[in-house]
Amino acid sequence: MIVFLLVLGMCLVTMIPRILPVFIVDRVQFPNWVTSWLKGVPYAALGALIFPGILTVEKGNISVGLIGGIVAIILSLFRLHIIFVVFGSIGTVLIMKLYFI
Amino acid sequence: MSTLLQQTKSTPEKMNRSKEMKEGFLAAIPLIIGYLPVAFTFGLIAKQSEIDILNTLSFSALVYAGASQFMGLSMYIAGVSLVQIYIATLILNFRNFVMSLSFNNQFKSLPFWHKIYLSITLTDENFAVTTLGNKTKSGSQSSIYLITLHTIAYATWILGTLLGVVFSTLIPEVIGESMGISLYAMFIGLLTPAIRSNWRACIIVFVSMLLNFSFSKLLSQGWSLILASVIASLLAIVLMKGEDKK
Repeated sequence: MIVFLLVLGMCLVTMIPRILPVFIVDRVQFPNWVTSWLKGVPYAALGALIFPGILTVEKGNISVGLIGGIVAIILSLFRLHIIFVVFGSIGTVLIMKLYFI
Repeated sequence: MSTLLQQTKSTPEKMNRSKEMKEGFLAAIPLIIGYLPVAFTFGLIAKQSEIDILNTLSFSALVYAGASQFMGLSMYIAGVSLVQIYIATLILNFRNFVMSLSFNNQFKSLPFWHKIYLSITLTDENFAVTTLGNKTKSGSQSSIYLITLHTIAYATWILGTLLGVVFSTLIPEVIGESMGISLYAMFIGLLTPAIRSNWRACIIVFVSMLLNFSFSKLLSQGWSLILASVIASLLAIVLMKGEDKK
């Protein structure tokens, strides 16, 4: 029962912030600067989500995440499809874990 | 006669529809690869923590937030009070408020209930795909495309959790651990093509990384993510002023 309360409460605190903007954007006409700001959000959010989180992929060894990330950057610079970027990066980490750590 | 007319009218629409669904499905493939092992791990940990299967599945279905679920579960096991867990979750997940604002601003013209559904199922990952993914494709702004993408991601998350509970010893540990980088690799794979020819966006990305790195030394992960995203995206006001009409 207490687990269900945990789930229910966590549901509310994660869902309300996601839904509120539907009503805000519908009712409020944003000035231009807010629109520009919101256009920057994807880049800023993704930047923050990648770094420094990627360094914690392997506990206590930041080089695994760092090299896995660099491989992902190189692969995506070659304009490879994102699936190859993901698998290339997973493979790199796997090889590092099997042979170097 | 009228049915015939309807048929000829609806055929190209139907074709368009299945094309948009197909594009939504293709866009979801990296999400499937990224989500399955993470959700699997969640199911596995929940099982080890002796949470019953129904609660574990409701966790993934109702909360639907990767990092928050792991944090909430570990706090619960550590005996932290529910209110404290709620507050920590709110802070960790509040970045989705900013993302949802940006998302809803971009897709303003979609029908109300579509926006409600898409916002409920909004995650870091599908936000990345919809806002940074390939926009040149015809259907990438349509409801059908977006709903397909979000639904597949959501279903994958729940299915992965179920698989984790049921087959807790299926994936060899070293492979499971190596997949920890998959979501990061997906973020990089989406971000790199979006910023390689856009130095303004590039600046925002690196400032945000730097800010998050500095803040994470002083603040909790949740606050650090929110502040870094909000402050770095403010740069767009100065940098992207002239780009509005593009």
